[in-house]
Amino acid sequence: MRYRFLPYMLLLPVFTMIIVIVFIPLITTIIYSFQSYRLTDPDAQATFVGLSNYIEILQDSRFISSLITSLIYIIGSVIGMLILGLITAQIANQAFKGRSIFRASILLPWAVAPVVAAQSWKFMFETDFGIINYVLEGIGIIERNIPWLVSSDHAMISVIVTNVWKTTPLLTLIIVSGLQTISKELYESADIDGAGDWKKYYHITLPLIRPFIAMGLIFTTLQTINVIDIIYVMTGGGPGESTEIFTLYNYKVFFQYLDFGLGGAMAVIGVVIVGILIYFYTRSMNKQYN
Amino acid sequence: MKNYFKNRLSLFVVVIVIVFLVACSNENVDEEQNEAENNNNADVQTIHMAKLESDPNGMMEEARQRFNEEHDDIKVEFVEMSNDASQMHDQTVTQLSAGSENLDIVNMDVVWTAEFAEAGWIEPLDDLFTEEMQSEFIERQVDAMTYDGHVWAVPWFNDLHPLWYRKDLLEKYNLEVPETYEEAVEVAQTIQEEEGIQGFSMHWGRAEQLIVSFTEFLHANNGDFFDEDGNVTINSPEAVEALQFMVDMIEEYEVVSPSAIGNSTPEDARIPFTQGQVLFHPNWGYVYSENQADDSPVKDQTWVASNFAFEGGQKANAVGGWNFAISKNVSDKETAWEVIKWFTSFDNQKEMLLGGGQVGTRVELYEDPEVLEANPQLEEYLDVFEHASVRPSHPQYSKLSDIAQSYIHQALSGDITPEEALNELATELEELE
Repeated sequence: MRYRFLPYMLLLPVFTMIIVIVFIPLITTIIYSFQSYRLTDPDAQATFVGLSNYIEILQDSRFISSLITSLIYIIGSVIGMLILGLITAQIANQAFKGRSIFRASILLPWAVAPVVAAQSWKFMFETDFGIINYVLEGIGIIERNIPWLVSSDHAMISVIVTNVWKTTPLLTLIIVSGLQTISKELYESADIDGAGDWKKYYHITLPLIRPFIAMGLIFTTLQTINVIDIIYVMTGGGPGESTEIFTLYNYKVFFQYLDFGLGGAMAVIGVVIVGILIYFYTRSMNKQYN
Repeated sequence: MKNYFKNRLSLFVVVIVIVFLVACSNENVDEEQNEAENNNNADVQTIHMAKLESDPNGMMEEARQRFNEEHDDIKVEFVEMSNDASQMHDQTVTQLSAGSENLDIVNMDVVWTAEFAEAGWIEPLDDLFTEEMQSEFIERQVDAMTYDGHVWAVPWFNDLHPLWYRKDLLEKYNLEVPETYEEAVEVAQTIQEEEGIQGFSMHWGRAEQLIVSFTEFLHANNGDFFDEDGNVTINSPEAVEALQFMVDMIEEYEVVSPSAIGNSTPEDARIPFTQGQVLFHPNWGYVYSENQADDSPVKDQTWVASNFAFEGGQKANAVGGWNFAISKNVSDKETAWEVIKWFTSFDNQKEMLLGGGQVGTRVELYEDPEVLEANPQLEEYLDVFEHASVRPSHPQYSKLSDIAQSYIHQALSGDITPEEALNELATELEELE
């Protein structure tokens, strides 16, 4: 009985932190979204305007196209990360000499600061002196230099590649921990039944690591959509607006246009969209148990 | 066991409390010291002045110390700001819109005037910065600080965006510096073929620098964003022609590399020029000292001229630079003005130029023999100043710039035609309040 309040006391710092850095900003943003609030305009200082910010943003073709761009960016990244993540996790889970070095080295991209990673890839994707064109030309895949970052046909591929390289390690790490929970006996009994490697992978491994994949995808998707550093540094959203994801546009509206009302409305819509995404992921994660 | 944890917990709490107390008391000590200092000189006014992080040869800091020594009643303190103009914009705007009292003198980029004036963040300086005084400054820099019939800031660091070129190569082929873009393209093609180098190096990435360059092409062909009454004219035939020419420089004349539309900073475009791989290079004034550095491959081989015009058009050189304005929340406007007057005086500007290479804004500087001997390029600058190209003045400049960057960039990368780009840009600019 003496310790009745202790658990709450211990949780208090965390709760305070969550309230201060999550709830207060969230509520402030929601309030902004119903106001006309532009720093640059002395007449528009936090006056209530109802839903007009939301109406304006949903009629903004640039916002709609930035949503589509985000979707392409997420889907491209998730497919890339999933393939690469499953392969590297499988390798990292094998027993071989130098495994610990391999495990540590696949984590490196994740440890690199996003801006540094983006700047390095920007150099590599450079049209005239970048190493990617140099190598592709050297082995005869392309004849002319590809303007990776400056043509709207290639810019998206370039930023997806960079993002996959940067974020996959996180997914790999989670999948590896999933692989380690699978008991060896399952494979042994499958061997007795005469199942091949693919069959074992498809019927034993994959279903068992499914919740881990789903959880990994939640993290990596959030990382993909929220971390604008890579796109900001590599293309600035260009050429034109071909790589402008909606978080980058949101950033511009908030901090370049200084329009807190419109920016707030965009952020709220963003939260809803991300919420829906997470809902689908968690549902597919729970399916396994039902 | 329980006691063990309890002891640990209380120890932890005690440590935290001590850390907090120490942190707070330190601040108190600082404040007390400051107060004590101030009390020694009861009438000392402290003026907080924005300063760029970069300070060539520490000349700014030296000037501040000289000022503080010369004045018993005023003390200048610097507020350090990022060198990146858009970051500095955000820092300044945050301070101003929050009504901060820790920023009396604002350091403004030339394109911020309309925004800051319209938002009511800075004081008009008409009664202090008199017309007589204005006439001592380079006209185009003062013009850029004028908005809505008032003057808002005193130009202090002058930046210009002229044409840098390889004079050794032009001499080798016995060619004059071309007057028009049409001639320049021909010259560039000739030398490109003979020397195997690039004709032009441009900063056409999706960033503010694209607007700098585009505005020059626009003005060189008699076009503009708005007419005198503020109507949008960005889709005029002249404007479309200018943008078409930029596209052709990449696609048809092949004097600009396609990778130019990835160059989002002036540095990206400057490096190949200083490496000796480019003939013509419109860029900011700092190129000169980079080219004259001891390890530069083009030392003494480059020179400066006014940018090209289109046939029937005019020469156009973008205006840049930094300017001192007074915040609305200033503690004492007169005192702040004293500081600005001192820093922008001829004597201090000359000191800054000779010691740190920072090019000032007073006309006299460009006639001073001592200055010209150390900086021979300044003589050419007077000609460059004649043909000023000022980016549009607009209360929502950063939004305008971002939208314009997007459409112009799409045209340069070949996604849409210049006409489509500028028509759509015009529609959006008309909607901009």
